[in-house]
Amino acid sequence: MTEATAPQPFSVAALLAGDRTEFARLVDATSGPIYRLALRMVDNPQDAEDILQETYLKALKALPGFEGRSSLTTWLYRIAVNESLMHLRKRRPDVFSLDTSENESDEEADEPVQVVDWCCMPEAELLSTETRTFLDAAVQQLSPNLRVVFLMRDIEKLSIQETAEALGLSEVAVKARLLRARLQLREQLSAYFAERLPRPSEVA
Amino acid sequence: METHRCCDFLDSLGDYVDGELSPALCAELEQHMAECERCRIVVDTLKLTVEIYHTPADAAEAPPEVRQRLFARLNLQDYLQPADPASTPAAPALALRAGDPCPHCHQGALDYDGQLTLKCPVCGFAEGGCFT
Repeated sequence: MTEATAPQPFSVAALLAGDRTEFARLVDATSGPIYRLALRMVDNPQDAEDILQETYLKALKALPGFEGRSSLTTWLYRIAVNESLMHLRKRRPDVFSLDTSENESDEEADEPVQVVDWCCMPEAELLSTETRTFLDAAVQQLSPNLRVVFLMRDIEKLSIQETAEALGLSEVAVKARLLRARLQLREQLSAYFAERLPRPSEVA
Repeated sequence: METHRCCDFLDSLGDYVDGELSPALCAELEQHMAECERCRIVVDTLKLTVEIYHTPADAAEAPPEVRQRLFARLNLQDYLQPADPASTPAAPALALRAGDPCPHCHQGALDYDGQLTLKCPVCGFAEGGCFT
């Protein structure tokens, strides 16, 4: 029996003291999720790798100012998200900021339109490679502001509170964005699966 | 179709999917779903959408070469561990030594054969040395 399942929290004091072993442990434990998040945010492996490296370099520099109001991991996410958004802004300067209560006028667009019951889809189809590819593409269709919330909550499984802390948003705002993201994805998936539904009873 | 009531429920759907809706609202929503096929489908497919995305697809780690370059950039090369602990043997075999029980037949005790090879006198298992 090992205790490997309950990882030790990271010691900010050790990191501040320049403990490289502790830093390596932090990088080892967090680089996977951070890379994955960055990759899905910017949809480009090279940019994602830059973001990954920048995140830790910035974290090292900013560590003395770390106030411990969130966990170290959440704080790293925050840096990575900001880096990702910066990359996106560079690529498409026409857009967004995380703070604005975006596109209120858009709200109507989230009314469910696709009403197809695809719950009976065979699991093999739901989890096929082709479906996976579509799922990833669908996430890319979300606006960055919705995408980041969805990725943190539903892909990386952070709590609402952690997501809110990492993004500097209220929990209410996180929940609202999460729902919008999920509803938009549901629309996309419904359209996708509607074409693949078995049709035992065509109208004669 | 009670469009108005359907809209009222829209805001609660996130909490419902996450199982965090208050029991009272939950009962109300489920009551409504029993009567409104449209909402039943929307809610069911919304739940399933979230479930599908919850099914892990990615490797937990960044690709090995990305990890390598990251560790190098951070001057942590000497701490680089294999990317996926699951892919390395759970209990790495310790180096064998003379006198150890033979890992093959578990009968004989390993001994050097004179050419730096550890050999089992019982089954002939050989390990290490100059010629293996």
